Amino acid sequence: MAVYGGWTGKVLRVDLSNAAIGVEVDTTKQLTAFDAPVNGISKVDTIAKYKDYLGGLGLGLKVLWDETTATTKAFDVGNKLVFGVGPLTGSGTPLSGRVTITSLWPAHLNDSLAASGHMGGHWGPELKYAGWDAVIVQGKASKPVWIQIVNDKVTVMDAGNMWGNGIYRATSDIMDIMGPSAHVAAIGQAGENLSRLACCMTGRSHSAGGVGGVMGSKNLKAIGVLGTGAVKIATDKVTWKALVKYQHTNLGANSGGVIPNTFQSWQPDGLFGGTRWTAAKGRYWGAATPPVDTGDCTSTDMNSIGLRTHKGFADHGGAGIGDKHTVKIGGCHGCPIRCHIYTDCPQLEQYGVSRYQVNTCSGNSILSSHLTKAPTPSIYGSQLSVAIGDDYGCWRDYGLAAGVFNFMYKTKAFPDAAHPTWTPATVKDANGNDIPNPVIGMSLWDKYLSAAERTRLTTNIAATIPAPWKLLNPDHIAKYPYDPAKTAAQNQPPAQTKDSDLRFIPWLGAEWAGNKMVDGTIATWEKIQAGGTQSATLGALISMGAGRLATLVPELEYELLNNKNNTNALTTSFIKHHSTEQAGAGYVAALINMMFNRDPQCHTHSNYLGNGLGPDRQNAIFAKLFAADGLDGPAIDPDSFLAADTGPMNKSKAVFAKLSLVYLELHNSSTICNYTLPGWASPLNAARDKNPNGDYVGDSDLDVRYHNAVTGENLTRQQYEDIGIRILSLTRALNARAMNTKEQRILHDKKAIPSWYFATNGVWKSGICQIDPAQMEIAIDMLYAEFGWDKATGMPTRATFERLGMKAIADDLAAKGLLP
Amino acid sequence: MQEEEKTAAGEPKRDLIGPTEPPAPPVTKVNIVFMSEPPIEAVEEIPAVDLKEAIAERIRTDCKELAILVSEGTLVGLAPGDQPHEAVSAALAEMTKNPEYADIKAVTTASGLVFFYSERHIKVAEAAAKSLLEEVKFRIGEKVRVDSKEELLTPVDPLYEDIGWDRSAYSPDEIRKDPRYEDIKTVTAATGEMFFYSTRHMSDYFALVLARVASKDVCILIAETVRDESRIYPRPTCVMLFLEKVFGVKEEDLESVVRKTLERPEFRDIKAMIHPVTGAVYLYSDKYLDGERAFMKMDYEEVIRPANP
Repeated sequence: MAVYGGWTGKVLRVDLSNAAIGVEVDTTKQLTAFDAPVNGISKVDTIAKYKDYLGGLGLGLKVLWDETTATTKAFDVGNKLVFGVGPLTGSGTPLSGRVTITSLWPAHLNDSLAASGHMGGHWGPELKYAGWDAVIVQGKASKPVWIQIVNDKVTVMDAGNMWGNGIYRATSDIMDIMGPSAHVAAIGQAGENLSRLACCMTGRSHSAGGVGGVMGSKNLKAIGVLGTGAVKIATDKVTWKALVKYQHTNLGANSGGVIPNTFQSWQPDGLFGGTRWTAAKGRYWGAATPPVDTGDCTSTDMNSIGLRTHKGFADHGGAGIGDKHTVKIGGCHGCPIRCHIYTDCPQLEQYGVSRYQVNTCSGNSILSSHLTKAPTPSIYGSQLSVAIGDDYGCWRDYGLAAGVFNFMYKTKAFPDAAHPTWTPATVKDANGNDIPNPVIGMSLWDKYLSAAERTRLTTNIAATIPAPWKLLNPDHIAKYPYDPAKTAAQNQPPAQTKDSDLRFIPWLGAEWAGNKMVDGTIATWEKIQAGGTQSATLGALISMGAGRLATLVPELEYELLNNKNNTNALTTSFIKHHSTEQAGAGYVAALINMMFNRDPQCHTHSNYLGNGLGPDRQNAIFAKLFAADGLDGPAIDPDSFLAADTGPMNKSKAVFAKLSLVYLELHNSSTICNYTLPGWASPLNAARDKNPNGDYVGDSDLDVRYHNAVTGENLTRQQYEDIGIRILSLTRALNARAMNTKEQRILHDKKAIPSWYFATNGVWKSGICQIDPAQMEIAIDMLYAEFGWDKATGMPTRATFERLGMKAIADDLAAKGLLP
Repeated sequence: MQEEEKTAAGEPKRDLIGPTEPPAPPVTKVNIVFMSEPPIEAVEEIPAVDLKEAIAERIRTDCKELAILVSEGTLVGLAPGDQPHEAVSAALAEMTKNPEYADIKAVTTASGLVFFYSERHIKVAEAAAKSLLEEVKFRIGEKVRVDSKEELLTPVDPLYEDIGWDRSAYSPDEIRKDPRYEDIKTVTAATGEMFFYSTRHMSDYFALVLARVASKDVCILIAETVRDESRIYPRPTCVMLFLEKVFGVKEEDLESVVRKTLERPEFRDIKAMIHPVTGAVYLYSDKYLDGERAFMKMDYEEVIRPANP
């Protein structure tokens, strides 16, 4: 049998239903064979069973296919939770600090569908060093537990003293036991309370959204990992160092930017703008001791790559605020691109939290985006929000959760010309007579929350706040209760003081985390579905997720599909993520956003489009790298801000969409960071910087070169990309099985295409590049053709399944009538 | 109200969490191991260099093929190790005693610069004449590169004056013909003033902007930059761009200079717009960008991009 580098060759399985607490299992001595459990713990041969799916996401999906059924739901005992890393994780491959957590997805309306959350940090590499390619968690513990992994030794531990506490406390407790070299992935109260908007978090700021509730449903508080082994690399040291050095020369900044955001003298063509390469001479990490000048950060200076992305300046209010409060920009294992903002805001101490916080992107506004009036400067609200939201383990869902919460808090249900069906003027009584609708004019609270809950929220809010926040007297709602006698305008929350706004955040966190989730999300859902209005708690409503809530609350569904705030949900009520709002994205982004069971989290396309080079250079580079894929025109539209700018669908765009999706899956399976890759563009030009590939041309083969160097395989780029298509095809198979239909085009993909993609009677909508519905049908045809999927159904054909070595899956689907 | 218990330092005393034993020390790890040995030819070796021979070869080649003298800086680049200056000095001292290198000569200029040549290819008198020009080029190159690294243009006339050379005797653009100075270029401001810059440290476009700044007409600077942005990318320009150091516009002057630009008839293609939500002011040239697209791009930068991180 071939010996590979990269993979450890073993997957750890922990069956919490059959594990005794406190009993250590030495998997090298007590487990004499694969799949022979001792105390609920066993191991699986990675190479024999999962190598074709690479690892990470692919491995997780294969576990779900093999071990769950069509009717298994996210919070069922039968659901599996797979923490998967890949052959590149921890190998020193740049950007290889990720782990993918795959499971049946609690936030989706159909929670038998599969999806994944992803964390950076150091937990994934540590799992590799402990000797494991994945951890499969199954069953349900009889009481709260955490899993301790120290190399080969695995113990299910009592988490009773941590349960009910946040992520910070759990992490601290486990680090006390395992030592400072360990890494911990934990959930907070949100996950414990089965919030469908809960995350799992490691390293203070690296979170995997959506899976926290699944951990909670298994009574699993955390997994601590300590590994002292090493990842084997098939190639030799000299070749490896040359490869890593070569990639470093091609790296730009976070999100793929290859030109500076500011006008810099050194940029060879004078290009600037539109990227996260935000360092500049005189722009400081001002809260460092001493302050650090990020400096020129020229494209050829390999020693300043980590300074290029000054997200503290860019995300936290610019000069005098963002730079002043930035301690440093940190990041993940093996990644020279730093993108997590470490801040120091001494002002936070008055609210009982640490002055030092860290997060990035939308994680920095997890709760502060609920504020009706942002504090000034906004960094205080943001970082207080991080301190509390992250500790509770609240998942932001890329902004959708905040939008839902705000809507439920603020919106009244008055019918008007724009929304005549929100609240019908009349309803039938028991005798079938039309009577005035008793909920006319009520707020969403009045319509959907129980009387007791409304009383709690309007008269006794301070008592609902858990310690230590109770001391802060967040009396916002107590002061300003909703008054049905007043008009909608009069009932709008009044202008608030900065202070009361900030004190609102702890309350929001507690609600989101479900601290007052009397019935839990499942019971609340069932009650309201059965017709019971005025029966829910606010926490339970929010925590059930946008998709479920929208089916119960027509006002919310209308908002999600029509609002103009650029946070539109898709028709399936998960949020778009880098969709048609991005310049040049058009059909490519629309295709990418219809493929998954949550927001796609695809940055392959958005990073390339956002590299700062402009569409002409982007098209030229794409054409050079992928000429063999049969391109026939521009892959990127030159402008795409207006409907007229979107050129017709063509083969090049289908290839761009295919490659974006394929490399997303490969990154999440191998596992490397899709938030900065692909490296298709480079910051170097040919003349001055001696870029051997040409002006700003990166490399299309880096992924497969790393795979071959680490594993010892000798795959071509096409063979490697086929692994990505295999993983996408497996997702299709899982969808068809869970939905019990092969009609994926109609019932899955097109369901995720909202009407706001298209012009309504020629009326332009702000914030998106509108596309043509007939061309979108062609786009879907062309993408399916790229994958070898049936155009009518959107399912992989038998021939495709068999070409990809998935005959058994094809047979299974055929037996169920799910193969085209 | 019960008072909080305090530590000796006066800090509120907190409950201890977890065990009281000190945590275990961090574990030293080896994170990767290699399964293959590098091929023999790939092993990095520093080749042994006969510095004296390398110096002689470089001087003879440059003199023969390019008819130029060689500066000490060029020779330093040939020396391996951490102390190349010392190595070159030592090698040159030894070469003077070795008849094999009898053709290698040095010429010192009035300002003390030393250049080397080979008598096989360049005669003494010729070397003396060339050394004067070499000195000019050397001093121009050195000054311009230093200035460009600091994001400054180098005015041509004051530099010539400083060196003591007549501009008409040696055109500023001549220097680029020497491959050692091919990065030295010139740019002329609207006032007619000419500047040097080095493309090692500064792009042509950055130099052009600096030349506009040197023209001392901020309205031209703003209008031409806006036109460039509208033409090249194309995109509207947020007026805050002009507060970047390179443009030299003070915050208190920004509004008035933008207003003046918009009022000047030769810039009537420059249009202004204000974002309805953020209040940001953008300019664009309707020669290259229509108003609707300009507005959408402004909206993208101000609202859409921040909402879609």
